[in-house]
Amino acid sequence: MKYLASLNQSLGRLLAEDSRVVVFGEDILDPYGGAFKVTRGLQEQHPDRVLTTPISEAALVALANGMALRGLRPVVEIMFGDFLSLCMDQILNHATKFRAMYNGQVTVPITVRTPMGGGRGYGPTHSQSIEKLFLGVPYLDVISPSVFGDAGELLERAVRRDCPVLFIEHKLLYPAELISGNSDGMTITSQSDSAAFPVFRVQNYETGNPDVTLITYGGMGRFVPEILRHLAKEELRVLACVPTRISPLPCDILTEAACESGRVVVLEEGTLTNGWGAEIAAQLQESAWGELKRPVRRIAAPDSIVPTARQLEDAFLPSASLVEAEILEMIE
Amino acid sequence: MISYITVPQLNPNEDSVLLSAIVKPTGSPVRKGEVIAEIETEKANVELEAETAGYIHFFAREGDLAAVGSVLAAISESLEEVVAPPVIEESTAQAGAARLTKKAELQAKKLGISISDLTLSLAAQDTITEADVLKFASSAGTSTSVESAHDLVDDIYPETRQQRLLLIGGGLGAVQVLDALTRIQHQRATAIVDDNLSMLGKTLMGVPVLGSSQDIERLFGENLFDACIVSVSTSRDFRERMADLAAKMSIPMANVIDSTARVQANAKLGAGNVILAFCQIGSCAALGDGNFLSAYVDIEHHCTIGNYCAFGPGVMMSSLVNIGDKVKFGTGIFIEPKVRIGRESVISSGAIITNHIPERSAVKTRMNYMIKKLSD
Repeated sequence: MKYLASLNQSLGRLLAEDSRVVVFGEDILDPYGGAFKVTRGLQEQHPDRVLTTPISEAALVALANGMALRGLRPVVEIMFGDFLSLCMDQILNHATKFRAMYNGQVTVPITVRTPMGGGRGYGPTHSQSIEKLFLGVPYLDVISPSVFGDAGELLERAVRRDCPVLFIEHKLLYPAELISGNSDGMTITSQSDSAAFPVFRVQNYETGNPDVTLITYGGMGRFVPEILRHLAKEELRVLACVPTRISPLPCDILTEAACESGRVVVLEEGTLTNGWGAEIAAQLQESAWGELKRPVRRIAAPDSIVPTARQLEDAFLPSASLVEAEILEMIE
Repeated sequence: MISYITVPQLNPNEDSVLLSAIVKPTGSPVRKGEVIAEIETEKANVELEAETAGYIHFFAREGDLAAVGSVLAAISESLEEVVAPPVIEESTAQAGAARLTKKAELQAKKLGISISDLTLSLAAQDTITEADVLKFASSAGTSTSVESAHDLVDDIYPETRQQRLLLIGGGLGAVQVLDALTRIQHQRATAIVDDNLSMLGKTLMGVPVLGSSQDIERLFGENLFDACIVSVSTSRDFRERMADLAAKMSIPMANVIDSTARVQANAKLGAGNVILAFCQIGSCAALGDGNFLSAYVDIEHHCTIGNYCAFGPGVMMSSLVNIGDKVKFGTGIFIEPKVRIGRESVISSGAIITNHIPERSAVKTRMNYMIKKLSD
């Protein structure tokens, strides 16, 4: 099953099974089916609950908030993750606040889906990974499926959750095949975080402790099989730890994985400063001090703008070979 | 000469194109610039042209989806040439030179084995593994046991840990000291000496045994360590002898204190003490030199401990206790406040000491329990 098909079928199931679910966004109707085709074919089955909208991202989330307050389960598509900046006020000052401000009498179960990430030459404002702006917002869950497990099942879980959820997809993963079983010398297991979202553990060894723990999520997860395969040839044991709910963080699970090797690399596609990796490094510094053999190494994009030219973009974004080089340097 | 035609990226949103029509079937002669096929994306139909003249060979059929960048067809100069899609190989080592895995490279570096010697002697192999390096080392005389070195990479200490330690004694006490060192941020073990010569050249938790106690001065001269610690737990005489030897050679002795142990305010420590997990040295307590404290030993506040004592796990004392030199304690002992224990005494496990103990006394406890067989 491919990432795209898994998400598409999941939306179909949600619409079929729960009449409260409403899916809307820009250009999501057939035959176009959305910029990345995630909503293709849904309108035909559920014409009254799959709706196309004008270009007004703030209004989309505001509409969703209102629907959610009145008992619906809206799923909003924001065509490119970069445009989430337009939704910030509705998410930060409305969706995540209402439950507390109305003393628990209302819930705001909205799901905002959007694709992030570069690698397609779309330039500065269509290639970013800006989810870090939303990490740590209280009462907001940020979910990001990778190639491990079932992206669609995560989406269903997100939509059925009673809190606001930001659901971060990745453009390059849509055509990717999901990996669920052990394959290619990789052993895949999963643990559950406090809200029962899976944290995948992918390893290229059968016994013993890892030499390095690689923590990553979402689009960067696509590099994991390649990195594990290459480093297995160097007899290096790598444990990749891939959470699906990236905020709040599963600190206990990450700490355990970090302590197994004492050498931690955190990989994300967004820019380096104040990112996901910074928060993980800070948490591990508090929870695993004394167990770490090396400082936590963050790998991310430079603090700059994603270039349009493909060669420049390739050099700008983190790559599997960069991660391998950093890991080799770390174990010296 | 064969030239290949790859699938162009026509639309940044699509990773594959549809081969909608083959205009020139496989085997046909084509001219440069002639249309050979039509491909289709969601947004456009495009004609694909021959880039050179020759004979066309397609690797896909009409109606196939072909990935962007994949080889769609080839043009050969003659019809007789055998045409197959190019094989893309993952980069491999150059022929003739065996490639070391990263683990093998680190192991070789650690054992001081020259990589060129290694690759020369194992030239027949493509890849040299960690096991190969260890085998090579043992045949070359620097014998290393595979089991003990297996966790090699895990035991390389970061260079930020500044004090390099020599462990005197490579037995079970050394394992405890090395274990504590994995969590101590300012110290790392660099070498071990042991008077059992069969250990020479082996490693213990990744740390090499480089000689016997007679080699300490030479190794210090070679700048292999900054300070030493005696990792023999029970022999109090040996601990004293080694401390005297180090003093004579002006080699500093270090204290090794597990990261979970607590040394409270105003406690005084001499040198050469091993203090293992979960011990407490209470405030204003004084500990001499060369003591070995197993886990969970509690030296309460205002106690005074002499030199070269050996404590088993779980020795608990109340305040103001005074213990002389070279006293040996078993496991699980309680000592009442203000008790004095004279030098070189031996206190057996489970004792509860309520009165002063004179010098060179053996304190035995009378165990009072019965063992009965359980009925079936």
